[in-house]
Amino acid sequence: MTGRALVRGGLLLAVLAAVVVLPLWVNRTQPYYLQLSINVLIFATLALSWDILARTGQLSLAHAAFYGLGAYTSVLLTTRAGLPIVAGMAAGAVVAVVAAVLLGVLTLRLRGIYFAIATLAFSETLRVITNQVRFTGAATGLVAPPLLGGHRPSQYLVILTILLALTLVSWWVNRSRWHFAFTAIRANEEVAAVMGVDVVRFKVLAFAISALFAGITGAFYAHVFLFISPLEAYSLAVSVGALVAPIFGGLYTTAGPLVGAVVLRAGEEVLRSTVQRGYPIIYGFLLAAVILYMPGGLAGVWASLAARIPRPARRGARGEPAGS
Amino acid sequence: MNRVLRGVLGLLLLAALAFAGTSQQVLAQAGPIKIGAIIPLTGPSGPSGQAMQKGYQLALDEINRQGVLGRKVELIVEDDRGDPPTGAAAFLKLVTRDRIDVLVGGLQSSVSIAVASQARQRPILMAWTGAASPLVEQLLAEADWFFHYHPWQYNNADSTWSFIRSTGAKTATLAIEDGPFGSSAADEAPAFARNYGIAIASTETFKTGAPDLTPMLTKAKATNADVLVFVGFDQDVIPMATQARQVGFSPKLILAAPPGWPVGYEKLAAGNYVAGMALWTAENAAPASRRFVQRYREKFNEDPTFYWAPLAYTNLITVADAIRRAGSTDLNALVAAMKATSYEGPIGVPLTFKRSIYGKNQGFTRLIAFQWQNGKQVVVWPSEIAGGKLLYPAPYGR
Amino acid sequence: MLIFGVLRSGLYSLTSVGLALSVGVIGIVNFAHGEFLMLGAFLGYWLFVSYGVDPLAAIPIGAAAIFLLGGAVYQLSIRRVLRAPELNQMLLTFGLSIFLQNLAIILWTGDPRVATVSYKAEALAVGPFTLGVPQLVVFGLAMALTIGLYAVLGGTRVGKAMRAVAQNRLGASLLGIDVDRIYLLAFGLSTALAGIAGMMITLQLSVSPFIGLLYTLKAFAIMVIAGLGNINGVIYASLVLGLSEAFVEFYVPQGGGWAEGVFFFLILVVLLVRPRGLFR
Repeated sequence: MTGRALVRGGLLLAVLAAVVVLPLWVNRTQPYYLQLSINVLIFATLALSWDILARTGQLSLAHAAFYGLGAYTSVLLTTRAGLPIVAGMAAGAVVAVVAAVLLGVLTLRLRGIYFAIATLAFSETLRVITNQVRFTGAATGLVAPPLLGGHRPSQYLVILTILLALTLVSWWVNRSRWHFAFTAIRANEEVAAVMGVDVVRFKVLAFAISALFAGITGAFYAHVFLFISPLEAYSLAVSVGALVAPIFGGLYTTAGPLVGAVVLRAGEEVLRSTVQRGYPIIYGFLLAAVILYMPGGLAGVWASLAARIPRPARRGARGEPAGS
Repeated sequence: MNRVLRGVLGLLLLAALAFAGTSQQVLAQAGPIKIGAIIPLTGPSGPSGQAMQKGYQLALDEINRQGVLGRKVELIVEDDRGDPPTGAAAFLKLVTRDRIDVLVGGLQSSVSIAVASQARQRPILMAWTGAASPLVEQLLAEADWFFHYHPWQYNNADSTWSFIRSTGAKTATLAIEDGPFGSSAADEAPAFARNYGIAIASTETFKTGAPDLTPMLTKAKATNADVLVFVGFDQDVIPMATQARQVGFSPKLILAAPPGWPVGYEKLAAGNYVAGMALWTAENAAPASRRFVQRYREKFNEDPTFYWAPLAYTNLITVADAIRRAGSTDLNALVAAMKATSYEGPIGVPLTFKRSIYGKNQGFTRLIAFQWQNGKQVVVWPSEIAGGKLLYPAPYGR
Repeated sequence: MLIFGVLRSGLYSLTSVGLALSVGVIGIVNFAHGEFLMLGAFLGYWLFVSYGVDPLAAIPIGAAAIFLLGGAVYQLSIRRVLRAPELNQMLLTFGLSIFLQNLAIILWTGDPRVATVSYKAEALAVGPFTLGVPQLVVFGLAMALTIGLYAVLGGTRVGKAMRAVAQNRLGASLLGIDVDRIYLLAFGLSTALAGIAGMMITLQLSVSPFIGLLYTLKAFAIMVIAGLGNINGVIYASLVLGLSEAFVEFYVPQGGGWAEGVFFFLILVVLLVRPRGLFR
């Protein structure tokens, strides 16, 4: 048992080392891939942080709100108050968390589609306010200072660290007592409450964690691509993208949203550079097909494949189908 | 833990695969001269970007009839989706993998900023068509290798208010969409209007795509201004024109500045006598413009509706010309050759690059005004290239 | 100003009533609703441009065509996710909406197109007011269709079956109602109504592949204010939305930019205070 754990640990370390070192080496020869990796990591962070909230049964369309709040807070503080960028990003995350706790408490009673529409309305309200108020640069948008002098490899390490931290949190959530609390709330809130789960606390906590990472990612985006505007930062596309990847990869898992994000972004990039004009039609078609034929996402397919290979002592249920 | 591990491994595998597939680099010696274009082919700006692609195709046909420096020109088009991260990745792909000699294209400001910030680290001749926001200009103030074709917002505003002045109007009311397009126009308006001696009676906003503009138009009507300046997109000019008629709002002139006009607008009776500002229109009487429109029709079997098509055409033609004159694709030689550009093309105004407020190499600085007269866009300003007279006040009614 | 708000609510309720039907009977929140509207609008456009058919006269053809399309979409996709979690249903219709929008771009390019119906800019003077003719027509049609739909649901066998299915799927099937067929009908009808709304947009405005989202969002808002799936609440909710928008646009300086914010804020407040809707 300890032997296996050691091997696993060693392997994980090796992978980590490779993920850290490889791109730095890639930057000299193929900076294109470094840029793609950054784009993918941003997407993956949004996807996984959205999934953590979804584990409590809260299907949010407000991910763009926290992303946008993070971006705007950081850019405003760094450009108007002269704060260092790191402080700005941290403040962005904090503001996102505060907003999430507020929204989380307000929407406690709402379920399913009611919740989804309420969160969408919240996000759009923020967009309109940002769009109308002069202080936030209004519709024209704001130019942001570059993070770490615009040095891409360092920026890559920053977003990688953020994602790794999130992955650890997500992994821990799915391994700890929280997992049962989240799953119970998702299955039936009343029953969960009877079982002694503090429903309010866990729902709001999930919201806070989710928003923390969305906010910091938004701030990161702003300081890497150097420009934000209400239409782009609070875009519905951000919220939708954040939920597409987990559903594609497999909901309520740690690997699912990550793999989903990588496959979708990589696939999109290949389509973009080969098909050019009409490719979103393929994207839309695939999305529908996945829902129809792979309701558990990639993780579901993986689980059913794994289930066909008899292996002794597989612990725990894996590839839990979406929505159970 | 297993699942996490697998996720990370999968990620790595994918990266490795992608890397292996492309690590061999082709050394381009006497191969074609490579020009990369970053334009939006999909998303809301897709129609403009696709018009640009057609302009590039026409230019490319023409360029490759003789070749440049004895070589063919190859154009590699990348779709930026109107998305800054995609634009940045496309730039790096073009520069480090395709090894392009010149970068052309460009439409939205956000993508331009993401691309330009990368270009700063890897300077290349950037012959850029898009982005009207002076934020881009300020960001690239020092860049000698950045050549900008499209007028800046303040150029647009200068043309607009100078044209209004030429009509003899004294007051104007503004109706602007609430996005970056409209709000930048509203930001520039007061200073230029004052400069040209025109009073702005009111400024009202609307949401682009909104089906009902009557409350806003009723308010505008109450100001009794001579001119309605309408800054919205193509879809918005329909409710503007029809509902202005419905609420009985008939100022002496309606001036609209959408990037394009809806197909079929020429048949809209309520749209008659509306004036427009644009970089170019298909009714432009300049000989080069007529040739362009004719060749566009022959090749694509449709009329060019966006000024982006001739702008892109001009973009690629002038770049090829600069390479010929530079005699090489060396950056310094190219920059010098570009600075010496003097080209009379389909846009109808000679193109040269001069200093602008912040930037070093600014191309076009003036728009033209036209008026819809019985289904035709008649160019009415500036007088040097006017093809007809402005009907002012507009003779609405039968 | 009242009158503007009332008139604009016609188009809104026409847009929303179909969505309310699909939510009420089937329980499917269709994010592609606006795309069916867009397809209806294009259909109206082409019938007008190619054959000179007035969009009003083309309503039966258009409604039938979109009904068939909606039915096919139901059979091929929606039917399979009826028992799936809400999230999967939502995402399926998202995928559908991306698909349909880009199909339209490929077929007809992204350019907006305008059908120059002769009375597009006509207005009637009623006392001190001037009312747009197309707006009046759309308003009348919306009222007629909504009331008609209400009557069908209340008075006919199919309608009663729909209501039964909406209330209790299992119970209805025990009564011998073919639930699957009712769903098919309801979804087809819901998309056909969107198609009609689209044709009215052709009548009044211009058509492009991008018009869908705006109306999907409006329809969501109206549905929430009415109460999810509440069909007769749609008219009142459209009035609330239309009036509040018109008031903000008219009385607030630069109100056009704020109107949308008011509209989303309204949804948020209604959901937080009365999640079952204002008109229930």
